Amino acid sequence: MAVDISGEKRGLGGAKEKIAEFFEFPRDSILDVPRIVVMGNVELSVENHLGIIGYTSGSVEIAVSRGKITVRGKDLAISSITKTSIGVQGLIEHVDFSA
Amino acid sequence: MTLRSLWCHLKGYVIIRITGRVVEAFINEAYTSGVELWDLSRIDERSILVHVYLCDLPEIGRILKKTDCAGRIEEKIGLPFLKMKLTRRKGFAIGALLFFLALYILSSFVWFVDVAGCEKMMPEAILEFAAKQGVKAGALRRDIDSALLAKAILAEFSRLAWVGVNIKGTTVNIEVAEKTLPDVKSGITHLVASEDALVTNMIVLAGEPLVSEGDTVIRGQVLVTGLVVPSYGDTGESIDRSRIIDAKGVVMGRVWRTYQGSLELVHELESETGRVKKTGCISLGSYEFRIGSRKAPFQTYTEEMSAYEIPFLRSIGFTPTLRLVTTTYRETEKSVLITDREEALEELREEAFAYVQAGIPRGAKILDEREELKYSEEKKWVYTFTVETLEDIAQEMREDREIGHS
Repeated sequence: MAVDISGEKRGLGGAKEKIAEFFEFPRDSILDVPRIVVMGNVELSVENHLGIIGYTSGSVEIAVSRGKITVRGKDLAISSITKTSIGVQGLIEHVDFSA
Repeated sequence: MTLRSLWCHLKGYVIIRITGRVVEAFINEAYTSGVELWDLSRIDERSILVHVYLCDLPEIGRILKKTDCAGRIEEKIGLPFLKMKLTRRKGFAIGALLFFLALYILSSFVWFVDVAGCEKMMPEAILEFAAKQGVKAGALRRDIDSALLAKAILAEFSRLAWVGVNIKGTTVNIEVAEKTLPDVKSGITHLVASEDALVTNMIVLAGEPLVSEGDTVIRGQVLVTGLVVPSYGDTGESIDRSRIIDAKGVVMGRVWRTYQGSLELVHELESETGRVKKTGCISLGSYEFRIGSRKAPFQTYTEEMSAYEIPFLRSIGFTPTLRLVTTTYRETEKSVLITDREEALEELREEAFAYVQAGIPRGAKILDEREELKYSEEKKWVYTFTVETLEDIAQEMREDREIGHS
């Protein structure tokens, strides 16, 4: 199911959250949350990931802090994978968050 | 080809097929231990294809063992593999090397020498000289100093105004520009008589006069020569060397031009009566077939024959040709015409005047005109018309003679 990130904002770590808000830092650089960039429905990249849980041509499950991201679609391929980011290419249909 | 793929080619990479129960574990293990993976794609339930740099292969082997997966190299791409292939195929590598070596060595020689821009000069002479200077097919390119060669050619051939030498690849282009020299006269100019004349006056501007005033000269006689022989008193090394100049001058002379004609009072005329007869003849080889009579039909007549050959049979090897000959006879009639004496004389006079007038050059002064009518021994009236003029009879005549440089 699609998750609204802003809805869970209050639940993120208290002190760090406040500091980030006070100094107007980008939140993802301070907090341990994934940053997802989606380019249309053909490319998706996840930063701050924790590895791959499952990979088939129909879905890619990426572990992140506090849960996982499931990308569903057709002919999915992992274009690159490094310690910091994972790139997914293919025809993307769903991006799901789950705890 | 992007920069990244160029880098990949330089480093060399392999496409590995990873097969295992949990390939995701392999992926996680790989990136955490610093191995870069890219373009992963799923093939079936149990296997994926992974791109990995060649230098990471030992690490991959370790990870495979650890994660209980099997790997198989599907494709090897990049320069290191090419190098490996080449070392395996030594002959090919040596051949390629030899090719480039041969190309380099052969291109360091001059193969062609071209000369452009020759109009009057023979390019062969320049080529020959260049060959003597060491610029010919087979010479080393770096030994050729194009500026020096240009200078040498320019010094050797006096007729050249400019020489440019440039080396393009294995060709040496010699470009020349010739001097345009004024036309040099070769030979001597004499003055000769244009008519039979009596020399009355001479003004010699250049040259040695051979006739003097009062002499009679005939047509073509040399009046003033361009060959000046030094006088006897002149001693020196140039005693046997005659000076050669263009003779110039004015030679005035009296010239007589005469026209002679007989006065004919009785003219015999032959005129056509208008009666015409035609006969024809067809001949084939030696056979003849006549149309009309063989004999001439008139007493006095003119005859005109026209022949026509039909060559059509020759083409099939039939030698006797078919000929058509037609003869036209025209009857003529003789008549006698007696003209008036005065009229005839006037006619003759006009003719004589026109004839003489045509021979007199411009600028001639007419001194005297005489006409004479005599009854000759052949019982004919002979009319003579003479014009005496004073004119310049000097005419330039060139004599081609090799003259040495003086």
